[in-house]
Amino acid sequence: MASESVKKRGRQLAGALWRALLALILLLTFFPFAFMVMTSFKDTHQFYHSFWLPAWPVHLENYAGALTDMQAYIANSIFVTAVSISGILVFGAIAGFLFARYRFFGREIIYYGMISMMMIPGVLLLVPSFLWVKRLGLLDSYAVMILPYVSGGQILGIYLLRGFFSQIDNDLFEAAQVDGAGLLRQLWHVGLPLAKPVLGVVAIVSALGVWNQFLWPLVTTSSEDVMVLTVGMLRYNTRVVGQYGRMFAGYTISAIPLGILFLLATRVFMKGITAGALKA
Amino acid sequence: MNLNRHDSASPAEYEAARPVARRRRPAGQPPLALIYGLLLAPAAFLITFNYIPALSSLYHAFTEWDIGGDSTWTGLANFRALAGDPVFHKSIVNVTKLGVFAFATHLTVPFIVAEMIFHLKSERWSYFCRVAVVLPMIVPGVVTFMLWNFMYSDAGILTELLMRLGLHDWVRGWLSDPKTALWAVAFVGFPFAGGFNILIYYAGLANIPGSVLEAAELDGLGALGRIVRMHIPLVLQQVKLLVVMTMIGVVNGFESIYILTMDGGPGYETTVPGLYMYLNGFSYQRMGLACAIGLLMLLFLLAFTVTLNRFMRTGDYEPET
Repeated sequence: MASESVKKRGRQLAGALWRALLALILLLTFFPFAFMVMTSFKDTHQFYHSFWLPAWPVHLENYAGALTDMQAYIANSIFVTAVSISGILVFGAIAGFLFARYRFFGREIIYYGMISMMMIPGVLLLVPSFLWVKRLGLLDSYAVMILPYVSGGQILGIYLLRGFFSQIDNDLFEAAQVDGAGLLRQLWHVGLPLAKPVLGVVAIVSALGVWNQFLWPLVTTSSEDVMVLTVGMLRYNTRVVGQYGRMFAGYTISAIPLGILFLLATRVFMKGITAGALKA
Repeated sequence: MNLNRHDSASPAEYEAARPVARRRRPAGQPPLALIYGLLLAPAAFLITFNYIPALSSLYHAFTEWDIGGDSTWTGLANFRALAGDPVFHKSIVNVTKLGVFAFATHLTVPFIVAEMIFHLKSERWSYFCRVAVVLPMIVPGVVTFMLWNFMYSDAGILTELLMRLGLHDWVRGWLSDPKTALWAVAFVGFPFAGGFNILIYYAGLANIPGSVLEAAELDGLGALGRIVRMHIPLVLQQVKLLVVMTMIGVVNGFESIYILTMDGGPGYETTVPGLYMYLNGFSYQRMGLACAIGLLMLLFLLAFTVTLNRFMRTGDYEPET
């Protein structure tokens, strides 16, 4: 009896230690980001004299200054991401639907021809891709980012949506067909409403991918007019050297757009991150 | 539609209708022209922005290629140059070190954290923890690297912490000291409890049928026994996926190094093949050589994936959607 209760207490203790370790790991994970947000409200004096702790008064002007520097980059990033996702969803839905629903000559060859490109990481083609778009005269434009993003991003869309549409009962589409709906209207009125969860995952995965693109826009764009946030942050860094509060205010601002997306779609976001692994 | 139509139709009518009926596509099939037409745009995109660069890379790996676009066939010269290039050798040593470290950390820590979350009794806390590990992903990757760059800087957290602890002798330029630079790069993201690895392990654990878990409990397996003898074998599929992803990340991932040390310095202490490819292409104007490096990296990744698939047969990973 006594040994039973000792055992039980031991297990409780182990459980508590387990949870404490989990809390510690989470704290360490968050520490750099917490430090970033905390420091974003300090001026340089406060940064040096109260390094580890929050300091008063808070300096909101860090944010005002950072926003002025970054708003154009953010707007460009949002534009590029939104257009790319639209393209990815349109191409992914149409091609995925065709591959799933219809038989036609060369279907599997075309399909695997498209899917196989998932095996080649774009970064390994950085140099030939750059020289190619240069020859096409696309350098330093929105198109030089959007077109390749749509091209590469649609693959995951086609893959996931073909899988989804081929699981849907044909009767649903045939009913629409009897009503005289053509291919595109069947897709629009029957397919897409059912596919919303998959479309959401594709949209989030693509958004994360496009938003985080760095090396491609770094080598293909140079004018501020089209520069996206990731590349703009490099310039921002050199502009705020030594002004740590403002620097961190900028870093914090850079997390806000995806933060809003995360708030609006937590569950889809989390599913998308897991599904994003598939892309690799 | 009407199977007895030959009963009601005259033979001539039937004969006239037959070839058409035979050639007609299954009910509701839209015209082929429409199908191919709709596939044209996605295919044209892929050909323009994926196939052409890929084939161009394959061809130009065997050429000397300058920024103007003129190339001359040089056969295996690029590969021979790389075979004798001490910087390329160094970059392979570096990426191997980073890879060993990444496998030791990015596969284990997330599993432990996923186990911890899995063992939480309250579903609400469990969900909270899963959201918490994902949350840092809202910060753009580049900015996270910049944050780590700050942590290693003279005004940064690491230096400040050591000063506080009175360990002045330990302080150094973490990214500029040849002894520590590669370690500093490897430790970016500490404690490696990053987003999706945990979610993937967690999904694997959550998919273990309850009956299996109960059976283990009845067999008197302790917590550790359950983890080692049941959980690990049952998440092998996830392990395989993460092994591939980690390898791809290690081989292709030089963004962090670009942000942290820019040129792979000090010396070539943090140069990896990806960065060397980038530098050859965009700083040294040796485009052909860059293509050759990219091709070697791709061949390595393909060989790795194929070998892994042969030795770890676990079926395909299916996400819950």
